[in-house]
Amino acid sequence: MPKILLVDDDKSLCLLYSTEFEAEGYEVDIAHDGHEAIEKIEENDYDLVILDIRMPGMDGISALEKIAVKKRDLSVLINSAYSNYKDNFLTWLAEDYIIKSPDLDELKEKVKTIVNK
Amino acid sequence: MVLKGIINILIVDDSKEMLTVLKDSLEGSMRRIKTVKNGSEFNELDLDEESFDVAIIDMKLPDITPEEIIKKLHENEPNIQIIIITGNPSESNVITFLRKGVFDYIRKPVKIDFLEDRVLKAAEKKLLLDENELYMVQLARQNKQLQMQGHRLETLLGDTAKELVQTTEYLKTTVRNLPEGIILMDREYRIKIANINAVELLGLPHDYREKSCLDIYGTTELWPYFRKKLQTPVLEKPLNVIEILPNDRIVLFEIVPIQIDGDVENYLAILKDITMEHRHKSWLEAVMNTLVDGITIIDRDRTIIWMNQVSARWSEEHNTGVGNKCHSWFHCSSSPHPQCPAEQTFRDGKIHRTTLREMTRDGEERFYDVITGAISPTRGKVHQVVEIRRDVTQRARMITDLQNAMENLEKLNRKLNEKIEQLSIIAQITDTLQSTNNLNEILHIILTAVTAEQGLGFNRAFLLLLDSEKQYLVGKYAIGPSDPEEAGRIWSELSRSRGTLHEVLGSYRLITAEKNLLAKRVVSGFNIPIYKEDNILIDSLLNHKTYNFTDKPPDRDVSYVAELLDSNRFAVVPVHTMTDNLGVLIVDNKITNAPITHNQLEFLKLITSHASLAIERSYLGFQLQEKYSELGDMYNRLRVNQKKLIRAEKLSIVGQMAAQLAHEIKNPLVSIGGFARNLLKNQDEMDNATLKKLEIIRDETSRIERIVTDLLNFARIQEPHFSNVNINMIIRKAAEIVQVQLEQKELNIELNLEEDVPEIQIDSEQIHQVLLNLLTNSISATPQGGQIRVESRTDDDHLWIEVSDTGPGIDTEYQERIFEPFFTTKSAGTGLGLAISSQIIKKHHGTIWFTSTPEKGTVFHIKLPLKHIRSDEDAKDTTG
Repeated sequence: MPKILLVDDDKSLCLLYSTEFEAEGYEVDIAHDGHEAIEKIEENDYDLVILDIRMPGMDGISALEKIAVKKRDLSVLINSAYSNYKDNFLTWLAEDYIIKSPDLDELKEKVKTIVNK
Repeated sequence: MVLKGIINILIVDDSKEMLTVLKDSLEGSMRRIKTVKNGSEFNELDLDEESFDVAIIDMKLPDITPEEIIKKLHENEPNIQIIIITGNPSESNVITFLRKGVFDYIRKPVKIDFLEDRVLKAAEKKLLLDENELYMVQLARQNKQLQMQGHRLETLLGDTAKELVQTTEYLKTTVRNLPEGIILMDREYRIKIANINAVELLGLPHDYREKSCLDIYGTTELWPYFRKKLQTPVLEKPLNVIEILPNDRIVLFEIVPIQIDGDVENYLAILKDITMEHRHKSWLEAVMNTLVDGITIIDRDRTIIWMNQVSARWSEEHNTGVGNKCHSWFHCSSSPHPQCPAEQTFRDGKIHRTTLREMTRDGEERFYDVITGAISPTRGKVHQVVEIRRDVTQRARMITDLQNAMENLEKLNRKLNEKIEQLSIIAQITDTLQSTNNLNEILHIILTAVTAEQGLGFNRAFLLLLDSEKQYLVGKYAIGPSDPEEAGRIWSELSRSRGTLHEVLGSYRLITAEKNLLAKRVVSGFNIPIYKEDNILIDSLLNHKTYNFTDKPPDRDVSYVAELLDSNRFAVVPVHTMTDNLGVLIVDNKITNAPITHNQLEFLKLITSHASLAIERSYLGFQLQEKYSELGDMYNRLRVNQKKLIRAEKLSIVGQMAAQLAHEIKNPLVSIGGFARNLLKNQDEMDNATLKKLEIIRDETSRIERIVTDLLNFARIQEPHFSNVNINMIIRKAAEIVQVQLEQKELNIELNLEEDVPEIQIDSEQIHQVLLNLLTNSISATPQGGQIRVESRTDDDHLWIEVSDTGPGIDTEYQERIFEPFFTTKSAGTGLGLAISSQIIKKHHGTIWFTSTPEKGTVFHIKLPLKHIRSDEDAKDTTG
């Protein structure tokens, strides 16, 4: 079973995503900020990290930088309400960058592609 | 030898006759003769009482031997000379007697002459012996004295010798330990003694003793002067020479001739190492000469004994003044000046200073600061004075300049104060004038100002103005007392209620021609036709001339005016504006008879010109009213524009806030929409109503999402990323995207694109978005079956794009606002599409506008420059 780490400070969103992705047959782990995400990544092996950027504490970009150092092969998918972070070259470390949307089809498609790669 | 004194002779003989004969023959002056006949008589002689020089004794005596007599006589008188008389002298007897100290013997018969001769000889001998004896005694005494003296001398000499040895040792030690080098030379300059300092200082060879100084140094080229001096045969005076030795030591030679009995026997050379002193002196001199101050040292007899180069340079000849008298050197004066600071220092030993002013021979004025001080005075007496002089001409000139400047400033200040006072008057007048536009009031104020004591203070003032037809100069107003009595009354009243000019101007009553006798008489007299150009008042009016008539007989005929005024002394000033001649003002001091000064007149002109302005202002008042209403209109328009501007600013802020808000909305929006979609997956388990509601939630969140996305796009339209693009490709792509919508509404699209359109530098994504927006708008505006057309073409400089539809056109009331953000006519629109498009085109240095015909349709035009205009942002991208 593919294992996903979902990093988002919005608890409702976490519930939505975990519901959806568990239904799709993924095992979903949740972290609410960058620090928690890094801790979890060090303790577990994930197939993918879905990473929000604007979070209290350590933000997504800092977390992404740390992940790239600690687990170079771990795929990260950025899922943010903001599009302007695309300008930050650090986001190029991620596999893909999508804008948050209530329609989860695009997100699901990307996740599926990355996990099956 | 001549015998002096008495000779005592003793004759001993037993023969009586003999005795008589002998006695008679020897008898004589100075001879005392004693005769004795026998031994017994002889023994009776008291030899202690009676002494004899010569004794004549007969050999044969009866009762006594000659030996016994001789013995006895000798005992008493060892020097007595004895002559023996004998008849038969045997050889042996004679010798025996002679051996026993007998002087001689005489044979019988006695020859008297012979005897006398012998006696005298014997007496002589006796005398000699006696003298000798005396001498011997004296000699012994003297000898003894000598012995004593010799002994004393011996003791004395022993002490002196010891002292001499000690002194020599002491001297040697002293000479050795002296800090100076000491050399003692003989008169050939051979070195006798040299102490260790001299040896070391001069580097004398080990065998210097007895060598001549000239030999030691004669072969070298050192000390030429010294040598020359030493080679003079005899050096009689002390010689002082300073020499720099080969080892760089500087030595002072003091060579003193030592004279003994008037002749020079030795030379003493005293060598002093003055290297340090000399260096210190050089340093001091160097320092002194580096100073900007002139330093001079003056002796008690006022002779300059030292001066540095600066001081020397100040003299006319640029020579050192050493040796000259201070006062004659510096001031060419025969005696010192009592006020001279150096003189004062000589008197009291204190420091004195002064500033001197001197003229150079070229007539240039120079100033010096001079300070004098005593150099180590002893017992209150000053022996030397140092004078330090600094050239302060520059400073003195600056001070003079400053003083002149200050004086000028003072003058200016006085002038300024005068002007300020005048200005204050003008300000008060102007202030009062501004309170009214009424011509009468203005004239009143002017005349009051001219005559009030707080104002210009003229006694009287008359105002003549052109009549309305500008044909006559007519007396209008006058102010001032008609006679001294009235003047006294009015002025004392005024001085009691003394107010500011401002207050006076407000309260002073105008005396018009009707109310005042003077005014009536004088003012009504003036009525001069304008063509009388030779009249002084008309001349002043027309040619803007000012006249001031004093007691001096005028060169013009003023009798007409003088008669009316009853005064020959008055001034005339024209009253006019830039464009109009208004009249003239006449002032005089009829009561006080004070002269009218030039300054007063100038000031009067100034006031008059201000007054003219006020008069003109009153004329212009009406025109101003008209302009004012025009201004009001402009102001209203400005306010409208300003409102728009504020609105635009507000919009910008609203846009930023909206963007922030949109982001905040996004997360809950995703949750709500996501869950709605999630629930809709289980449609089978729901009733229709719930299903419907869920669908509404899903669709509405989608709508919010679209709005949020548009908002975000609008809030941050990025700087375009330019690249070479074929615009037709973008148009085609956009048309493709809206294909589904076109088909839904059964609309026809026509792409009328210019072939071989040149590539253009644009941000393809942004322009694509613009085209999409325009197409979407057109599609939604066009009724079913309508026509959409997109056209592209170029001219030399621009690319033109047109998007047209066959819709109803834009309502006129909306046309102004369609590019404003959030303005929309569509129920589902965000109102941001055209605002975004307009922003993008602006960033491409292009323009977007539309033409709309009701019921025919709308055309959106885009015009983009073919040549990419680089903005500042692009420049930054490439350089940094």
